[in-house]
Amino acid sequence: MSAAEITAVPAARTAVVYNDAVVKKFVVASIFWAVVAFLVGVFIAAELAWPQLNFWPPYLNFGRIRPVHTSAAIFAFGGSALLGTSFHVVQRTCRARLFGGEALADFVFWGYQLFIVMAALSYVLGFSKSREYSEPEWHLILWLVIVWVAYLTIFVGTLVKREEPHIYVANWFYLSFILTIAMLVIVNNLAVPVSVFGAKSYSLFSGAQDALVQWWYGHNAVGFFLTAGFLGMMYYFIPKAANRPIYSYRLSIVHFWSLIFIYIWAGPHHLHWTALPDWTQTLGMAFSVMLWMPSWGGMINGLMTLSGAWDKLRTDPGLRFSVTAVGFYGMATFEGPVMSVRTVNALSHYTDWGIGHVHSGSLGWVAFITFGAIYYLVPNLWQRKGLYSTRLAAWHYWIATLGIVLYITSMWVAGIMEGLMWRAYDAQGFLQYSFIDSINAVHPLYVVRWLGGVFFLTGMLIMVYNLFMTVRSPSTATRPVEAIELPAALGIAGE
Amino acid sequence: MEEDTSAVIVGVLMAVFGLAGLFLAANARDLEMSIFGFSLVALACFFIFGLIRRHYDRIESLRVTAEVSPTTVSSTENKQL
Repeated sequence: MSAAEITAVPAARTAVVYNDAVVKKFVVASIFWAVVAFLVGVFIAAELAWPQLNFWPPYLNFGRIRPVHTSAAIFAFGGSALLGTSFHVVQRTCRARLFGGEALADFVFWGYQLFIVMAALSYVLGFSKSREYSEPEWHLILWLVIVWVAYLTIFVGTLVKREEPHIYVANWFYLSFILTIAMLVIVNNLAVPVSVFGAKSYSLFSGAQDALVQWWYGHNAVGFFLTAGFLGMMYYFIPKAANRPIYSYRLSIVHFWSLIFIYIWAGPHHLHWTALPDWTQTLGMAFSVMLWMPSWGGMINGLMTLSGAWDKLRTDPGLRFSVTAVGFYGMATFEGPVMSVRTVNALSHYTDWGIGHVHSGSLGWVAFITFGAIYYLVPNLWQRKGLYSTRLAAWHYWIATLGIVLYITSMWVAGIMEGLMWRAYDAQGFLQYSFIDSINAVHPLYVVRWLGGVFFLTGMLIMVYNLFMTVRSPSTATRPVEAIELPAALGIAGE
Repeated sequence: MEEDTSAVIVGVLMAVFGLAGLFLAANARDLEMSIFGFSLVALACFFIFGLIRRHYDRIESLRVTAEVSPTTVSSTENKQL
């Protein structure tokens, strides 16, 4: 940018009336779906520990409920948080109201909620494409694409009409999340419906190609939905909560470009020791190991933003969630490349180690960074002077952290035990253990995992109560309404 | 202006989605498609009702504010709603 352009920015600017209504809706939806996702997660963890809970077949069978849990956690809780925070961040960093008006933003909100409800219902009724994290049938994907195009239109439109000359790095992460998810969803769901009026469809791909496309999608859903999007959240809410600029803006740009370039190649590591050609497996492994560096670059950038403000961790539980999330991000992005090495994968694949890894990322990184953002957003959006109780937020933090520790350690132990039992041979060359032996061996660990889930859910319920009281309690009220000069139907920015 | 244009375009699109939902529900070959079709119709109806309600709420709000403080309304109208 030239000096003339910089000086052309007017010193005094008119106030922008942001669309906070849609952000509030997404925040409430995210909290609601978090409770649903964690509740269903606890139930299916109990089903695994005590199989007699698979009652009311087939609707409550593990196979039908499990995608309800994963979709509720990733797309409903995580997705609502991403859409809501992206609308919040793009408005603030561009100093522009959302493009397309309230109606289009509301369409994105309600359209997305319809997709979530319909998808969950379809799994329970037995309609599924049986592709992990991409279970909805063709008509629901088509609806999601319509909603997603509207979302992209709003986001890009807001960037285009921005009053700030620079596009802040968080927006780059959000934009890569929106664009890449669109590409992944469309390609992975290319299918031929049996009838326009029927839900059943068949994939356009077959065999190893079908598997590769699925895991190209699957791993990049992790990379661009659960990582890039939430990094956008990290790059806005940690500096805001810490009241510090990002440690290194240059590092954030390097982080962005290296992450999005490398992530897209890592998918084949989900298909080690399969019919996939060896060179493809090696390619996936090599790029997964390379991914370690940008991931840790981002982690260091997030953590070092706290330089000079570490004391705030004592007084701001929301910031504590965010910073712990970055720590979990570092751990999960170290563990992932290790597990992608083919010899390690021979032990870890198909075991509960994978489940432990996924949950250290989803609970430790995704959920915690979202909790940090929500604890920051709710008092700001509802114009309260602060949280109802920082003590309750601290309780939430410690209970949830203990829950994660119980969950991931039990799954590590269970996974390594399973891997070792499945490959154990006796002196005659026969398998030493039957499969049921390994299931019996991990049963106590399944109970510990369930207990970890109960802890995490309990923490979430504490958060719901705390946030409800933050909005409703007179103790958090700020200034009287008369001081606001805008008409009653309009809300101005909460910052 | 942007608000009104957006409301009209989205409203028309929702009407189209609602009609598509009716066709899907009427010709559905399975329960899943039937539920999806009816849900689209329900969403379209509630959404369009919401657009109409918000339109009249905005007019009412501006009218009430104009009666209380005419200067506030003129400054607000200058901002992009």
